[in-house]
Amino acid sequence: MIQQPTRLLQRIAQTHLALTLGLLGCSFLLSAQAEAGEKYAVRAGTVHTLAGEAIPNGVIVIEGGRITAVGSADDVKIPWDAEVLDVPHLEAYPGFVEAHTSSGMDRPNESVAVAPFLNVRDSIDPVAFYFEDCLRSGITTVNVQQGNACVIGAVGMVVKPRGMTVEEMLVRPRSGLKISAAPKSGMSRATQAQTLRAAFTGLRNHLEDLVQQKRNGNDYSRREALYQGRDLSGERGKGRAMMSKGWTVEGLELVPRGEVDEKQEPLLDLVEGRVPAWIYCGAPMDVRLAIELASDNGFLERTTLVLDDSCWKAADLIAEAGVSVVLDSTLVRTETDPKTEEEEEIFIPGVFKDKGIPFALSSRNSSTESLWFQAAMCMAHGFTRAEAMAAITATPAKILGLEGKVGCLCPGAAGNVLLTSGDPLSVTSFIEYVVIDGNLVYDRSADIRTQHLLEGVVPEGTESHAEEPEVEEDTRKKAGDEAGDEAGDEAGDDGGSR
Amino acid sequence: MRTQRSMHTKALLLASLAFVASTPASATSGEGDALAIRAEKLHVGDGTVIENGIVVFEAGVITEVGKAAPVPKGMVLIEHAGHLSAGLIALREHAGAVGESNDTTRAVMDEADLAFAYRPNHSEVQGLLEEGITTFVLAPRPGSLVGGLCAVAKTGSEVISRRAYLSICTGANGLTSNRFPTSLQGSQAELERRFSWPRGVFARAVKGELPVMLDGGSSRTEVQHAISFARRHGLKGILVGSTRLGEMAAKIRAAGLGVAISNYTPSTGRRVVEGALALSEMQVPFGFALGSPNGHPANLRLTAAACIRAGLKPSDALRSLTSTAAQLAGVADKVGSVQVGLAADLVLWSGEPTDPGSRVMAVYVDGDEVFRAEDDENGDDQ
Amino acid sequence: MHLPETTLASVLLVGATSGLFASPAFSSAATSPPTQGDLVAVRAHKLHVSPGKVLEDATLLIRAGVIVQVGNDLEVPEGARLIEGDVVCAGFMDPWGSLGMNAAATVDMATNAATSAIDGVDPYLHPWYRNRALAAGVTAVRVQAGMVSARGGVGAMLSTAPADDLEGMILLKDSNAAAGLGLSSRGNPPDVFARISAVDKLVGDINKGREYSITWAKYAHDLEAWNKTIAEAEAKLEKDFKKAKKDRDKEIAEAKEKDKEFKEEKYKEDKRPKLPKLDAEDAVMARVASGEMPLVVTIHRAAEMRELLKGTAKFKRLRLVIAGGTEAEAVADQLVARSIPVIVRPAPLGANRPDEYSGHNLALAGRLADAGVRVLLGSSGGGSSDLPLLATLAIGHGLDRDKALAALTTEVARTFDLSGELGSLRPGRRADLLVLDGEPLLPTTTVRYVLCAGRVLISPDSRD
Repeated sequence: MIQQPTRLLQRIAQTHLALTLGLLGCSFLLSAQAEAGEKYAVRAGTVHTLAGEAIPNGVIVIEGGRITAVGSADDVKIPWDAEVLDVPHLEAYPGFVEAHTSSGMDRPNESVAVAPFLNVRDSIDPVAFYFEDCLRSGITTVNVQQGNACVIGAVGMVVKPRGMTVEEMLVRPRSGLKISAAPKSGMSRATQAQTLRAAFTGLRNHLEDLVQQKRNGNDYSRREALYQGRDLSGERGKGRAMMSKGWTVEGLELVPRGEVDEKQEPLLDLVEGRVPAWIYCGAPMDVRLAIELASDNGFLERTTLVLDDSCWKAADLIAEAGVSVVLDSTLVRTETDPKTEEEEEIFIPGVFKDKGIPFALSSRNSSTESLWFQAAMCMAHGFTRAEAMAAITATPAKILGLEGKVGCLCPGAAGNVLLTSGDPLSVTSFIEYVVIDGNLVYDRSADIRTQHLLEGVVPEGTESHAEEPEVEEDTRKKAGDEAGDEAGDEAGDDGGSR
Repeated sequence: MRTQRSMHTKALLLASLAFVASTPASATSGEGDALAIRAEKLHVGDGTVIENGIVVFEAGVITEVGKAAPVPKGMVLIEHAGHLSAGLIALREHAGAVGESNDTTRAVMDEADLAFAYRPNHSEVQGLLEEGITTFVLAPRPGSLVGGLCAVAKTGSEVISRRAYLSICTGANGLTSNRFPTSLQGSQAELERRFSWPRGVFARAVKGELPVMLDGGSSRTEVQHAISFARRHGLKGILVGSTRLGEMAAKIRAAGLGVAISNYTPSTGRRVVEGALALSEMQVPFGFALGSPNGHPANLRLTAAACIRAGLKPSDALRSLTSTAAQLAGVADKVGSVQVGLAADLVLWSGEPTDPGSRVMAVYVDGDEVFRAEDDENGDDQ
Repeated sequence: MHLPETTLASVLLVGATSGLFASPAFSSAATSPPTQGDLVAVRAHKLHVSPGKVLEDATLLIRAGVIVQVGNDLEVPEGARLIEGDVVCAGFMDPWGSLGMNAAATVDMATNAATSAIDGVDPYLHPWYRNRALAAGVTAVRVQAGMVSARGGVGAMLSTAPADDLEGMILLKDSNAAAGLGLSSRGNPPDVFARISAVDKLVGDINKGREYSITWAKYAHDLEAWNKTIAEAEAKLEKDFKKAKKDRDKEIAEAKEKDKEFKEEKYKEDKRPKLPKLDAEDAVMARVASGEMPLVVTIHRAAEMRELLKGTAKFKRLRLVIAGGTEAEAVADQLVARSIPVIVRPAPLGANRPDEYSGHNLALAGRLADAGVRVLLGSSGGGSSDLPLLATLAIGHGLDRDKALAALTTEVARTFDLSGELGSLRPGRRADLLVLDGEPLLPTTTVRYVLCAGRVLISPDSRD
């Protein structure tokens, strides 16, 4: 229950005014400009920071979207002008972090095999059900990347499931380039490997061509860039020597960066380590290709592997390479011996834990088997609560380069808080409120869809077609008016009940 | 000695009678030359091997077998530097009856007689000869519930036994989607009906007079079902068509059925081979099926060799290729071993008959030389 | 919702002890520790050094995976493991196999000349397939991506022994280039018109490869010459600079006197030779045209073979290998003349075989060998573990026994430039050998021991 309703009403009136003055649409959401400097506080029954002991009667203070103080009610003072969410019957957790997903976009895959010049910002749909469901499942940070059916895919971004435009949802742009070591349909592993290597040799050839051109005094590429209207001002007009841990092209400083072909530039960013890589492996043999590709081209340190459940067999290789992984949503794999036809069950996160490989869990679907479910399954197979929770909060945050910024409740982190009715890993708990960047973005008591599903509430303005078969109407009409009235009354009663 | 001789003559008489009885109309066979062959090793077919054995045959029938068999004066004696055995027998074949051996419009054709579909001059039949196969059971192709009555035929010659088996398929491979019945339950119901109130060939099968060739399908449960079906109706005969028959060896033995082992292929090979070993251990009589032209005729020897490689005794393998197969086909009184009174169906090998590395040097059917290898150094006449 | 943690812990424990969490493909099936300095001595009543060359009561000494000595009356050194048997021969090699490859990669139709078979090797396949091949005596396999595509890419020779990593599996990285002519794909025979042009296309590609190597050789030569010229020019200019400066000043002065404009002399020099475009496929074909790698062409029909032989006659250093060769008897004389080996598939194929195999005959290997053609036997991806059994079948249809053994050992090594390492039991070769209880290629013979690089992988105790 939110206290200080008058203050809330005041604020709503203020923002409503501001919005009707200038902004279009979104009058039911708080605009971004109003966030800076705003203060928010959460007072919960227990605050689980996941970075130490749980705090009973805990308080979290968020200012300007960032947590400034976390502690027990005795130790932390709530600013007088902060909006307070007073929920002593609920527990506070940091928002979960989805390290890799292809949901929430118009279409997750692209037919073009090598397309690093694409960006998921052009494809993310802010009103997709996926983002709504993220809030219901407690995911407050999502890394959206292209799907696995590619050779080299689009550049992804980290978003929060809140906002009506992609810009509002933005947490971190250019979170990584997607690569797939598993074959795109129409290719086999041999030809996929060939295409991948060819993409990088293509880049190398292109850069060497540019350097050669410049050495020959040929300015064709500059004219082409001007013709295409590319940006050649400032930094883009300067050349820089190539800084990569793998191969280099000598003389690249002669070439202004703006003249590098648009289609090749994202690969250059990747090779120079400016953008991380997310490499999907569909089978254990792909892991070797992924690691080889990354180390040959100098971006192994910035690589995360997205694994299919069969890739546990390559865990040794992964441990040796020292990369982190994102696991598939299938946590238990059954292997059948072709000779004896005996089956063995393997608990995959256990394999990675034993080998000391940092791993993040991923959702199977956003509604019922989301991150909380994956963590709960891990606990069911022997993980401690701390290990299971880390796999959906701290570890994915670290993989995304947002350590300490998301996935924990500590000063300096983003103000993403979940308020749950109990243990979030229990199927009987609900997430009652979600706060993102110090704004209340989800209130389960106002969530029409779950109410309709769980309680049978019919949203206002929608018609119920449930109980009125037309055939019966006709026969009753023939029988007479009295019968028709009865039918109408019954329908009316059904409409309002549970 | 008198009794021996009279038995001998009686045997001859019976053999010739049986021979006459089985050949329809034309009696062109039986006009084979009189010949004697001495081979370094003569495999009788029941496990005995005679060193430097001689076999004498006349009018297509074997008259003498033994180390010191008397060769009649004036008869040609061929010295063969190699092995000699009875001709091989394939228990399930489709050669020589292309396009004729299954009916796609009717599921039950209990009176269809494959003997009428046999074309002895077909090229596929010649292919069988080159691999030493002298007798085979011509069966309808899988795809019908009751495919018809199998015939035992001599390669390149005539049918020697009509109505040797009633071919039944109880598994899913007897079904097609555009012909009644289309479901497994439907096929079971049809078969139950025919066998529970049996008439005609079904009555004979139920009495045990007409053996059945039972294709139970490929999976374990299907085979299980086929075996219990056979037991329930008191059927005798052989099981074919599955690579899993070996796993049911004990049950098959209890039901008193025989088996025709499927071809060895790289993917199914292990099961086939282990199955053969299991059946051998359980003393279930088995022969080898071939299924050409979909399978190459050499598969018969190859399958046997694969079983030997896995541990089957070569003599047992040879027995399954010859005398046991003849017994299962019901023609043991005519073919299947090198014994007096049986037809002169012989194969001359360059080495062990069960070694696929041995070449087929010559093949005799009913005493006629029907095949000789091209570059044969043998053939020394005496 | 929570399963009892004890049962799961016990599952994990059992799993860990049974090596569940170890990559199964890499767990060694060796019964002896594979340390490098291992000494092994093998003694046999009959030792087939190579087909036709048999030593009686001979001993073979192995050190660090390499055969060091072979002969009679050799002393077994101290600390050596002694293995005794009836017959010893070199391990069999399948020159046309798919063991160890990802299945989709072998049937990929989109491969090109530069696709590498190594990219299609799956080290995580269940070891059961590999163990079966080993138990049958097959110690090496040549693999290929795109086995029925027009250009299969670059093949590799793999060892069937278990290895710690992919590198350990590879015997030879670029064993050959590959092409396929007139092959059915997915059960459909190729279009007749496509077949006609396919041979020309292959010859054209080889030609392009040859041109490519010429272009690059020319570039290298021209670049060197240009560098030399430039260096000379630089040196000369440096030397003549003072004089040139004086001349220039003089000319300027003269021009001023005559009130004329002074024209600078233009400096001319040859442009740097242009770098030719890199093309991976042409590079592979260049190696084929120069004879560096053999080209394995899967081809069956006589008409196409004749065209191919005619078209490639002009490439003097090209090394052709024919795989399949169902109708190769028709061109046997040319094959003998040009020393082109044929990899025969001795499997008994039924009536539902692909169209190009319509003339299939088990006597092919024997007939070709009798005509003097070098014959190899391969499984064509149909199961390397059955190759020895199928070889026996080929013997039964006319192939000479020694030639059959050669077809699995020395001929394979010779064709793929591995004679110095594999195929025969001579000093310096890799210790890949079999200890048998009878003559090789007999169904009654059992393989008792299999050694790969001196490691005992199969022994009577380890067999199932």
